[in-house]
Amino acid sequence: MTETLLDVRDLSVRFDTDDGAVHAVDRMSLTLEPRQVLGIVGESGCGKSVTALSILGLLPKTATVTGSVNFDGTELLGASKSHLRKVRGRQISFVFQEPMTSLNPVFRIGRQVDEVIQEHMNVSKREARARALELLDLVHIPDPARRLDEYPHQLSGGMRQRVMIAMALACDPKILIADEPTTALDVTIQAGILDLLREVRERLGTAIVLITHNLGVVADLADRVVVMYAGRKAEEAPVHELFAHPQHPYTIGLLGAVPRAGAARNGRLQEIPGRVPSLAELPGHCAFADRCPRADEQSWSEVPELREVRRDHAVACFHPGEQ
Amino acid sequence: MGAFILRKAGAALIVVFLASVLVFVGVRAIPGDPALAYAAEDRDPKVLADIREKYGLDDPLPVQYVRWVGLALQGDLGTDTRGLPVAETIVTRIPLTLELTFLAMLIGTVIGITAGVIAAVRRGKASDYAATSVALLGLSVPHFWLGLLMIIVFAVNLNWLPASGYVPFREDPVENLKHMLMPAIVLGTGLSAVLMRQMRSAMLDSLGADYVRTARAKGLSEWSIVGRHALRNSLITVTTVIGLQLGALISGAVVTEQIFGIAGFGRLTVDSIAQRDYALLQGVVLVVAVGYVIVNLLVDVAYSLINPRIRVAGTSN
Amino acid sequence: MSLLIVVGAILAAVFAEWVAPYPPEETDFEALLASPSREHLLGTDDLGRDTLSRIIWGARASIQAGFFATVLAMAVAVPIGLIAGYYRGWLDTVIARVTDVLLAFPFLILAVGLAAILGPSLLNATLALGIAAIPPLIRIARGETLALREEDYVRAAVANGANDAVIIGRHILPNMTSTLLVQATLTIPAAIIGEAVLSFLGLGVQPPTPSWGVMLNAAQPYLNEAPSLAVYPGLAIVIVALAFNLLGDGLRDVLDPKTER
Repeated sequence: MTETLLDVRDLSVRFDTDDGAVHAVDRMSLTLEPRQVLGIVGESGCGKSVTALSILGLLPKTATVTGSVNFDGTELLGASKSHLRKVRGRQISFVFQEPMTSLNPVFRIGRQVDEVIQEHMNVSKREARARALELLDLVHIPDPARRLDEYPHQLSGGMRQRVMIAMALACDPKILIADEPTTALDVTIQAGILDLLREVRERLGTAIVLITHNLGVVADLADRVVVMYAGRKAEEAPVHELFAHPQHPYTIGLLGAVPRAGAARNGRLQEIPGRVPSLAELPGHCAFADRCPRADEQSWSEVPELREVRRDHAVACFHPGEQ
Repeated sequence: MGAFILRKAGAALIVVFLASVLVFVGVRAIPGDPALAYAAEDRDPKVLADIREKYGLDDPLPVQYVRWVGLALQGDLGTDTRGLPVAETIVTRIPLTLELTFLAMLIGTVIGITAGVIAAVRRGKASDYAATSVALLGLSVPHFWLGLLMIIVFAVNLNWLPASGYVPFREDPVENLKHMLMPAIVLGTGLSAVLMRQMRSAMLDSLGADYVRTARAKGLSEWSIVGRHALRNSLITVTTVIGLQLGALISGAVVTEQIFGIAGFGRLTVDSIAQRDYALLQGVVLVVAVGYVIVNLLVDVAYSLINPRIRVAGTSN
Repeated sequence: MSLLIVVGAILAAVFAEWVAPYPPEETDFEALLASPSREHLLGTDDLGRDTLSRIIWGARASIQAGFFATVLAMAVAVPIGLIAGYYRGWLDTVIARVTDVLLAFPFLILAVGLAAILGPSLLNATLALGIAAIPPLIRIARGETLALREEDYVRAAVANGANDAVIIGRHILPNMTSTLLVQATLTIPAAIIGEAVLSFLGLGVQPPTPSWGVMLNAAQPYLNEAPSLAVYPGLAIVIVALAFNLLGDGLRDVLDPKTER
């Protein structure tokens, strides 16, 4: 095992809303090593995006974050604004889900890419522009010089997402957090973006946190997978281990929902019955109990703690097992 | 871009044409015999008949309209009841009103936009509540009353500023501004209140937008997030509002000039109504409508300049 | 709070006879331009008329103008906007164009012009303000209809073969009531101020009938001796207009789910 790049410990996030507190994340822990691709998987509302945003202090003021986020030896939770700003975009950068709205509609592409370079590197305007051109080329945008002078609405969704990735890579960050980078795109475009992310890791050695609701995307790209449910970690394992020996009934359900070649055609996608619980209050029992075929009295009375059931494979379930 | 402006200009021309018809018919609908206004005291039927003959008042309305528009296109708006050329009167009155509205717009925009941005950034804090409350108050205060209050305080009690009158800028710039300050503030208040509210809500929208989250994630300073990314987008909305508010500004000018005794365009409007001076009123209202349309055209152009989606595509969506 | 003021102003306007301490036109030659005293709480004007009583009576003109002008404008504008927005086509083009033309005349200029055509009186001022308020309301109603028309439930209703009257009456109109209600609450204060302006310019209520605009106009020559004559009627306008505006804002916050506070 190599040194740890990002170490998140016992991260909890609470939102204070007009209707009371909402617990979005509860005692979440993650580690990320250099060059590693970590997939975080879960249904929408499970707290995966909130976890990612809280790492860089990007949550709105209504959020209360506790725990610890250690990046490369320094604590980011509660760090000063100016310190956070030096990390954002420089050491850890973000690619968001909505390429349509994540770029500012009134500025040219070039300016939006230059901006982040000039913010963090001590370079002239011209050097920044040269770097921007290089970046667009790196993310395989055809005719990059022309694209620099265009506005976001002139680009397709896939191209915009490539611009977002170029912007994220501008300062050669150590970590790239991609929050549902392909969800808003057409299926045909998705594969291209995933290929690009893989290439980024190979060529630049950037560690990637890949957040998605799609296990298929993770299978393609990630080294390690964390499955989240209702603000908590349900299961964590290396990607092959997880796919070969899923332990948590929720993971097994998700895997049933992955369209695999062949399987999808002759049978219906298996859906997990029930809904993700509202996070208004944290239940005093297994959050998955009401949707779980294995739930019993214990599931309804205690919260399962994470435990290692196989080598390097942890699960929070009283009744783990593959079937 | 060129096509966009041409299209807008075409639409504006149609609006001006329809407006001119409306003005003409509207003014003719005012009760009273136009000839009587010209005749002043003289009620002799023969004199009235002569006047009708001279001004073509017996011709059918469409004929009169065509004649009026034909002459108007050549810059001739006819003569008023005092026998003075309407166009000339209007031209001498316009600069006063232009200066007044320009200053009012300047005051209104600067205060409104600044206050709106501050309120949005400091949302929910004391300064937000203060700015929002003052703006609401500003919306509810009628111009003319604010004018009277200011006269009472600054002219009557403190004797700082003159209560009325006008000094041309070229004669004495300082006196000119002294005379214009109160009227411009009075006229600008409503605009600044409206703009503040619009700016606040537009900024709140922008600050919550995904691209602002991107800017934050890029590690940009709060200053460039607010001052560049959010502001630029908010200004697009607010430019349209400035155009729409122009009407209120013109109406306000009428009342403001009345209070501060400024012999501008608004005053001319009221006087021409009071004196049933048809030619004058027709001319005045036509100029207002044309001016309004022109300024809205300019606003459209400005809008397309700051909103790339319209500039490049050539179509609004 | 704002609701209280609005209700209070309406009650004062309706029951002016009982609320006001003096008849509005009763002169007291013992007290000309008097300062506030126990007999005349807000003082008197140049003819010795009680300012407080005249303000209360003036509320009648203001509320009447504000309320009826808005009702008139709504009654005309909403059906036109609905039809234009729902049926589209040439009719919509014509309506939209005409609205554009009318919008080229600023609200108050239009009202001033109409009042001049109709002749000065409270009724005519109300009519003028009501007509002048129509164009922007048409635009709002039309815009709202255009948007609602694209909603899934409206499309579903169309697909189910519901007739136009049912769709407009049951699906579109109810969904724009909150917008219209808010707009109405904001049109009323505009009309109240408009009435004051018209009366101030001599195109609305005629003296000696009390109206806030008339009182302010009459106060102009006495800014030196009796500034309070100009202060109180204006204050009345501000308070009532502010109350309506606050009410409108409050309604918008409650009714419009898009604006979260």
